[in-house]
Amino acid sequence: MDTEITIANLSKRYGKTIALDGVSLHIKSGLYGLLGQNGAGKTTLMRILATLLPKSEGSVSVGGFDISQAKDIRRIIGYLPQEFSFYPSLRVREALDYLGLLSGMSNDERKTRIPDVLRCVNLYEDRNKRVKALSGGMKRRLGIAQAILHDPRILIVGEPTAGLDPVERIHFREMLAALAEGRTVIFSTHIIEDIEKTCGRLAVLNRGALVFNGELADFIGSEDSMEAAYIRAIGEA
Amino acid sequence: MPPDERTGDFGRVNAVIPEKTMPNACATLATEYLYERGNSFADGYSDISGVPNYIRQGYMSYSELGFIQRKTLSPEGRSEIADILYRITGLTAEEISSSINGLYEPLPFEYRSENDYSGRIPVLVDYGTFTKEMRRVDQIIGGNSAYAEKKLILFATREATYEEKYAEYEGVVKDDMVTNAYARYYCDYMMIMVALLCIFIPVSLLLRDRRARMSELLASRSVGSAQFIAVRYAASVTMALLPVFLISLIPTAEFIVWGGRHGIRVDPFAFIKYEALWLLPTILAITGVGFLLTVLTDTPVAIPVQIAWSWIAIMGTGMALMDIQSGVGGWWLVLRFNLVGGHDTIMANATHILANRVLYAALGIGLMLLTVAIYEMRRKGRIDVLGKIRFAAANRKISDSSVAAE
Ligand SMILES: Nc1ncnc2c1ncn2[C@@H]1O[C@H](COP(=O)(O)OP(=O)(O)OP(=O)(O)O)[C@@H](O)[C@H]1O
Ligand SMILES: [Mg+2]
Repeated sequence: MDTEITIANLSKRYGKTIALDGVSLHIKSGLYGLLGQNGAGKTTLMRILATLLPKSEGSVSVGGFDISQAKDIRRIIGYLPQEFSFYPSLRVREALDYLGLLSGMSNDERKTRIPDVLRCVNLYEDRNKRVKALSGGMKRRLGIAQAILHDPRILIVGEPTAGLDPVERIHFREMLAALAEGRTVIFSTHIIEDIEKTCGRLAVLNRGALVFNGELADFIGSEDSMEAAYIRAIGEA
Repeated sequence: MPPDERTGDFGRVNAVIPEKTMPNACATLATEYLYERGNSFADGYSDISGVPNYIRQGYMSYSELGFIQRKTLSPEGRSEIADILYRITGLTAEEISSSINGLYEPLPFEYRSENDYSGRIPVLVDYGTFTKEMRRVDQIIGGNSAYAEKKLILFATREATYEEKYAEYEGVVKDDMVTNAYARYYCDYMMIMVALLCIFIPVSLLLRDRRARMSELLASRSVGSAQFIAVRYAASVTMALLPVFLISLIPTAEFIVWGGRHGIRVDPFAFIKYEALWLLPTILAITGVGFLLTVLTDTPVAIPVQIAWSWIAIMGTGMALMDIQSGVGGWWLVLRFNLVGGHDTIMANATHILANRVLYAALGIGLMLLTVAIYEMRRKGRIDVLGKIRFAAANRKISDSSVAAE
């Protein structure tokens, strides 16, 4: 099972804005953090990987498929956008049922898989609640549930910890780490601590350019803290 | 119920009655002639302030598509019309006009029989000569005018006979099996409702994705765009048709009971049939417009566009209503037939009506397929009309505020 993501010389321009500038990256299975400031190009990169945005230049393959094979890629990835929600009047299990249907899951598959997934994200007790009655953290967990519903081998998650309280944030990190067993999970964040606590490996984007890619230990190197390493990496003294 | 012979009143029907048809046609022709020439307002007739300008502008006729047109003539055509009027009546247009107490607003075709100028305008020719002259007039105007041979019947009415009324009743009972006649009448009203309201269904259905910030979650699923759009299209069409269908169950049930009691055979599927053949194509087309414009722009722009189109169609077909009855059909989105009965008229025009309906059904499906193609591009981020505008607007705000801060 191919869980690799290979990005070579990827560029993306919106008109004159260069959002990604010659990014090359090879991601194997496990948890992979994507760190960068606001506007660094994280969302742009994730959207390209999720086949929701065309690239300008370069080549990308996801799970063994070229990025142009959108339909195949959509079958093997789970995607949680930075900003998302659900139809507010649907119940939690109905929302999952609908999205499972759109992923081509059969009735039987959905019937067995949805309770499992809900337990996994700790929403089983709330399965009959309406989406509008969920808290921000619960909604994010539902977001993860829909992303892993069809058991994708690659998970692309945008800013999963933004706006969560400290306890919920820790839960979330643990959940992502657990999901990374046998999968590739790539998640973006601008919170250094998220990466520090979970990832073995990370990539750092700064204004569309890749400034670091590798092991956390190498990233920190001789600096005292990860913050210091980050500030050095993005070149702001 | 069959008509009651004792009342002696069986309504009126259009008919060719030479002593009425000829003077009425000449009066109308003289009026249109004077208005078009626009210089005729001799003593006493100059006050035409109440007459809208467009009426003054020419001879009313229908285009191939059923639109009302105003034709203006060349000087030769104009003088030929004057000659024809003179040959028939021995009077000039001005003289005709003064003998009928001045200019009146030329009425839409279907109301022209309401004026009766018999006895007030001399007619010097027989009906055969008259029709020949009228054929020439129609030619000069360019066809499909009030003076076309088929339309001359609209210049006069007479009382209907008991036999005619009875035949009409029989038509309803036998040919239409009662319910078909009422189903058309029902669909005529529902057509207006559907034309104006059903656009809200697809637009709100599709905009809900954006409002619920659901679009990216949907777009990243593996479902094919064709399936995704087609299923939603079908759902939207069903939602538009369902209330119309459910309401029609009531009269259907009533007619079945009534028919059973009086031993009259009614068609239990009449309402469904007319809903599917008469109404559904309009719904398909409107839903197609809603899908295309909403998926393309992610805005509710389809609503004003469609309401404008429907409004024009309702107005247009309202004028052409009588026209369908007399054989020249419209190609409008909205078909109207505000009559209980009229089986023969419908059958006589069945091909045209069917062609009209097939056209709009095909248009609707075509727009849906186009929407599939557009959605396929959109979900890959290849078309983002509104996104670009929004992004530019958001950026401007940011740069404005940073300028202000400096
Ligand atoms: N639709 C768009 N049109 C034009 N420019 C865009 C568009 N989306 C993003 N950009 C630009 O591309 C760059 C990268 O944006 P992106 O959203 O990928 O950043 P990000 O790292 O996700 O930031 P954040 O942490 O704020 O989410 C930014 O300069 C942004 O202004
Ligand atoms: Mg982002």
